[in-house]
Amino acid sequence: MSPDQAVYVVDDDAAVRDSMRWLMDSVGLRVEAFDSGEAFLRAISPENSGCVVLDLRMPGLGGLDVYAQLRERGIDLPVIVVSGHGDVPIAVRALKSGVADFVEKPFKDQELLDCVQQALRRDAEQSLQRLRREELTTRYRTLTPRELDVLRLVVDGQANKAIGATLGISQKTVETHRARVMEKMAAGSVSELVRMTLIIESQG
Amino acid sequence: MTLTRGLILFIALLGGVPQVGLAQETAIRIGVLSHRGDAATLRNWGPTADYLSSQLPGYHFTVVPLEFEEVEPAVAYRRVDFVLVNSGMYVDLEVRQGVSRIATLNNRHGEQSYNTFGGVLITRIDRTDLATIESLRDQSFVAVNLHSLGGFQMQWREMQASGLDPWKELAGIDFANTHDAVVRRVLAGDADFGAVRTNILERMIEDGDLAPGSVRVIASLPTEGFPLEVSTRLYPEWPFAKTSATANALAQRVAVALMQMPHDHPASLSGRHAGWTVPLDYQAVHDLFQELGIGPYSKPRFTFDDVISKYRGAFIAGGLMLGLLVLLSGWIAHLNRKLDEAKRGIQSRFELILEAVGDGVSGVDTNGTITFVNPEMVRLTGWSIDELIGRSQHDLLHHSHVDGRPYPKRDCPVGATFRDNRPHHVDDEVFWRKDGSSFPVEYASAPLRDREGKVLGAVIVCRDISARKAAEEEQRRHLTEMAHVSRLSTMGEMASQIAHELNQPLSAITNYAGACIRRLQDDRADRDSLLEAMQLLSTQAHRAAQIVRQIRDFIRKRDPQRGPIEINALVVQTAQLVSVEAGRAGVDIDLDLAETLPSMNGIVIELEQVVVNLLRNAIEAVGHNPTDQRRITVRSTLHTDEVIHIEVSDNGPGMDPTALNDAFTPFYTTKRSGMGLGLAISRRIVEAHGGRLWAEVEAGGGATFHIDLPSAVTEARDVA
Repeated sequence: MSPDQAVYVVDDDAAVRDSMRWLMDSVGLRVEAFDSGEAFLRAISPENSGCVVLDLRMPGLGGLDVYAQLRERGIDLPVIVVSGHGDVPIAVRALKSGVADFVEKPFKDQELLDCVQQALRRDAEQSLQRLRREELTTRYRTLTPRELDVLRLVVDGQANKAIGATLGISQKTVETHRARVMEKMAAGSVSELVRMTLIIESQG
Repeated sequence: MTLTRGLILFIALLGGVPQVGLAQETAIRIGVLSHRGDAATLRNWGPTADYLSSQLPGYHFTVVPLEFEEVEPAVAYRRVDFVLVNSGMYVDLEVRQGVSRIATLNNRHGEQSYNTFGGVLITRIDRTDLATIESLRDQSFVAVNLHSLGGFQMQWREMQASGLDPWKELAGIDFANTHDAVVRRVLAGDADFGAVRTNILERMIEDGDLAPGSVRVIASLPTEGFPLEVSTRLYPEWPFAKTSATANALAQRVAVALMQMPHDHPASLSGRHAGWTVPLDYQAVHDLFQELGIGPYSKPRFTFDDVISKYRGAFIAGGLMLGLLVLLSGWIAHLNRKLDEAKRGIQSRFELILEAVGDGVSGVDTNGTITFVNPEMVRLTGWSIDELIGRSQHDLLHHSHVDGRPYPKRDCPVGATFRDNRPHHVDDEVFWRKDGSSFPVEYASAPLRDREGKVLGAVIVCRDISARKAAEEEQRRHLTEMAHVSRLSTMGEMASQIAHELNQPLSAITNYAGACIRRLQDDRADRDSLLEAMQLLSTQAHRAAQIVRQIRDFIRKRDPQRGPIEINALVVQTAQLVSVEAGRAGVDIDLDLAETLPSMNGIVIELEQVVVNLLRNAIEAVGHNPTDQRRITVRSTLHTDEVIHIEVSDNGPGMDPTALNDAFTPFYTTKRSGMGLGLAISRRIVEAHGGRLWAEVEAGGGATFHIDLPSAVTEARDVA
């Protein structure tokens, strides 16, 4: 894991929180523990990375409420829901709503650790993608309106001649704009440019 | 009537009467018409008297054979209590002496039984000239007796109906007094024909007293369903009747005993009858008497006119003398009878009450020696009257406790009665029977005083309460069973909470153990941190064990034991049991407990169950409130040192006041899960502990459930 990743444990039971810390610590994971959903939501921000281990049944805000508020605030940390016996329907609902994983108590420690590791990897990937998207977005924003028009039509697969006819400019002018777009976006080929556009559009 | 009131009645009755020898059996005499001779009467009817003696303890029945002429005086002078006479004499006695029939005899001929009889006209077999009633004119006639129904009066009626006046148109009438003698005289040719009742010839033949085919029946009538030859109409068989002085209660018992006599009972066999049936209608006999103008309907048959005119003077003088004598003797007889009646009245009323009461009654003197007992006491204990009288009641009936421990005489409440001179009531002891078994008994013992108020002893009125005890036991067992089922059901409803509660320590244990194993595997284990993790792990294992123990305590024991209970501790424990559920629901449970409470006696898991039920209902009720306004309070207080009061109140929406009582009926529920038994069982549990459970709706919303329970102090006072 990357050094800034943490496992955020949210559970109302002190023994469970403490033992989680011990378990994660034994495999070199950093734990930040919270005794309620409210306390966790106060502390967390989009800058944090890692994963969340969330108890489904807690007094006050339950696990699913906490999850919903996280997503509302644009925090996309992978969330592992820990549920008790007999909560399978709730867990299914949780998985459908996008929760990364679901562990039923009583769990095997390895099972939990596997889930956590997987979530952390996913978080790391998401972080990379996030970085790349941010970089592309920055470049994208340097394009002039006319260059943006040309970009959209290129990505649509139109030839220079057709683009010129659509925009009411000469084919040569189209070629000049197209070269500038490729340069600004640091794209080696049209197909790469298409991928970049997809990444940018996938955001939010 | 309560036992105590019954006892007071007895004391009142006993007050004026000196010690009465109830131990002696009361002699009851049955007058039996001796129409076939005294020996036959005693042989035939003695077993019936014995049978009655055996069926009515405390009475000794004897047979008094009576000649025809002796019957009415015996009844009139109360020498007999019951009479068994022919139906004609009975009707006569019914009108004149007020006797009443209580049963009618079922006669027997071979295997057939019948309760009617008739008269037979007989002649010697060779007298073929005598075939019809008309042919009897101017013949000589032997009958049993002027008062014999089947041996004269029936035949008289038939002759009169055929236009033959036996008094005027026969050669003569002679009376032989027994049926057997009539038959013998007809056989001997002393008379041309005779009159006997049905079944006499057959019995004489059976007994070898008469050669078959030696006599013939005259004017035999066809009678459907009647197995014997008969010359007259049929009349109801002999009735068993009580005299007017005989108490109805005794008569009823005799009647019942007679009806219950099996048809093949030895007493029936020796009487050659087939038991007894409900008393028949004797109107046919009344008709006969009216037609003949005899018996109660007799008219002067001849006039004294000639005599009077001839001996007028002497007759008047003699008449006056006679009248005076009759008046005097009548007066004396009347006085005698009154005295006799009064004495019998007192005695029989007293005895009949003692007999009629369904409770055992006995009297003891100041030494505890039994002086009298009633038949119920005999029935209850299995000891006979003779075995009871004169023995120490305590040593005989009350010597040990139910568990076999000896019961010292100085502790006996009966003895205490004449020491402290006041009544004692006991319902938790046993009496011992003759066969060594015991029965739970409720008894009251009251001092018996003479007119000066000096204590003579005590009267004990007791009853066997086995059935009541068994019913109580059964009810208690049923409640225990229901309570157990309800606890299991509660546990079922709480299963997911329980599972969650157990999962917490189990998860923690798994985590700690996993942490230790990984550190050891990776050689990163420092002794101190491992030790710390193991200690934490161990704590969690204990926590899990504690939860399991709580559950087990709550559902265990189908046969829970009574013991002392500390209510405050019980409230704390139950609040803990539902704390998870309460925590999940965001409910605070406040405990407001009295500083000191006396302990009480009861079954702890059942009362725990009551409080758990009330708490869980309250948790559900406040679930309708906003999260931060869910409050339950459990309060314990003490009222007047004797009543422990527990309140469980919530600030939920309360209940519809009309539903307050429904809430306590079984299977009433407003919840989706659960059996709806909680409150019904809770109320029964509290009531079984001598307490009360009720609900009140608070004015500002919310409901309060109240429990009153008797403290051990109250119980101790009640026992003392």
